[in-house]
Amino acid sequence: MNLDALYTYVLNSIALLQPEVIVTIGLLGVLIIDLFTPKSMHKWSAGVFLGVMVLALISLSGQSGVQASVFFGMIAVDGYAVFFKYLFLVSAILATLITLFSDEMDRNGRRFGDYFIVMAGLVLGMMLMAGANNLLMMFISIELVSLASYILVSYLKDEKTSNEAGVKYIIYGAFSSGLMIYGISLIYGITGTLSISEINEVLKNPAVVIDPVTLTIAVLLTLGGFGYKIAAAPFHFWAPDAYEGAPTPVAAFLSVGPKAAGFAMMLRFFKTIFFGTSTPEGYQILDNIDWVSILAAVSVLTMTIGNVTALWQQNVKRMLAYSSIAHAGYILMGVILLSDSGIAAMMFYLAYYLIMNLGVFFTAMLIADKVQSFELDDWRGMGFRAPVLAIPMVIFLASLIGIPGTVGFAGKFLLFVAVLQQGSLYFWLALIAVANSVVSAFYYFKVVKMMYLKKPVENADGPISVSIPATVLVFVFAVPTIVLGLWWQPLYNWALASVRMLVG
Amino acid sequence: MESLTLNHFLTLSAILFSLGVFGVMTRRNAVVVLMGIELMLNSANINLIAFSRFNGNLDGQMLAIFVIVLAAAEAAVALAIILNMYSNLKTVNLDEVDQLKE
Repeated sequence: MNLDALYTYVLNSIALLQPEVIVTIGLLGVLIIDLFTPKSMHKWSAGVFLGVMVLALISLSGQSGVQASVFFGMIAVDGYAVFFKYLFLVSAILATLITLFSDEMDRNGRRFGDYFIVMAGLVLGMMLMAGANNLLMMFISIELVSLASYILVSYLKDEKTSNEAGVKYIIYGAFSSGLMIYGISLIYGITGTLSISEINEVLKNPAVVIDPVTLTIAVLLTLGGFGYKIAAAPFHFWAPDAYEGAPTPVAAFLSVGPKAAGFAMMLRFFKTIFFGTSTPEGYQILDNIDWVSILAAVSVLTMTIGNVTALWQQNVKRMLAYSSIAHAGYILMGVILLSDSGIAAMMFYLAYYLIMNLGVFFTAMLIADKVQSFELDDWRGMGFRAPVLAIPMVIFLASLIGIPGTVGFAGKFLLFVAVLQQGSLYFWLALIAVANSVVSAFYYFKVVKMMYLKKPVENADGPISVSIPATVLVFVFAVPTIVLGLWWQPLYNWALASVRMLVG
Repeated sequence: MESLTLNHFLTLSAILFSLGVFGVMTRRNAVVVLMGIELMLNSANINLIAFSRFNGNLDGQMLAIFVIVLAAAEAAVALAIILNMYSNLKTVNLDEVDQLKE
């Protein structure tokens, strides 16, 4: 490749990464604007950040139907990545709005600038994760997301719980990335390349003899990094502590954004590396290692641990952390299915999970800001003290259980249908998932019971007033939870159309 | 004299990796735990560079450079968080940091 051709190639690559470039410029923009604004106007950085996210969304809308590999196969820009990039940008916008209503962040008294710089870095990392087509890019982008998350979790510098959450998070996170990079180094050693499609070529080649034990160990170590990002067992231990100690808007964002990014990258990794030729009917899987059974075991373990441990939680935030672990278990079912419908169901579930989980965290945050506590006991009688928050809360919890008529039901329904379509082999998996959903109803309804069937605490102040903008935002989450639950076909069709990944 | 083979490097890195994991599992001082993690990352670097040499391409060396950068970034953030924890809780012992529990 001569210099002119190289120049044109790089320019074309940059053009295809326009949304990422906008986010990067936004990161620097927030930094510079924050330097020159007086402290009284520090909330403006939120406005700048929102503007950047909207610009990136507009730029992203020009990328439908693009199938390209940029920067020498490092990053893929395909329908699959674009779908997830929409998800990340929307979740970042909603998380920013949640942040603006948080008492916790206000009380802290620090400038918002730092927060949104790190947040922009996080969004950039997630967008790269969705497209990463090379183990080098995968490792860098997952680390970018992790580093930004560590900072956000321990953002409340003076709160002891936030400190503790940050320390626990970074030690688990750094340990998992140590495992992951060791696994990547072994995969590189076995196959001699870092590009995941070239690894696939090597594995497909019958002339190359590969020791299955080494490959299994290498993939299991790499799985450590993915498992940590999506909070799957046995790498879930950080999640309850990190979510409970983190500022609530951060916990809400971590439970949807980076988790979706982890799933996006994990699926691309497994699907590109371990599949033979793919046809519309299904995929032919390479039989080097039995990763389907491994991931099925992880999925069952994750959802069971999440749901069972959530049963005896007395702290709502911690309970929601375990609930998000359990949901990662459900979503993992979509990863192990060897079908387009399984992948589409997974993408669909992640999109719907975004709405209901951000909603439940936001409502819980508003209630907790009023009663100064996430303890379930202090929430007694909330249904009578603050009906405008309690009713949406019930909607979100019903959706998390998967009651018909909500987005949670649509997501679980499509996931279970995709599982059962794969034949009786996966029947037991669907059965365990349904049993888990039933168990989850107990702890979700414990919150409803406290809010509606118990008398308010004796020294309670009576009715709680909620500001109009906060109420509006609660309903911005609550209305789609119902409406999209009944009218889910368009999003599912979009997910189905976005399944095709770029190979090569 | 016997020359160095790939196996020598792999053995060295496996030993370093195990020492790193052992350090993370057994030590309770947050800073020492971080040192264990650095050992794990560097053992992967040895792997990458050795494989790069014996595979005959430069991908591994390229990744190793990025791993070094990321290890530095991670250490910076981790030490800042641990320092902040020390000023709030007056300890760097992970067993004594236990406010968040079931």
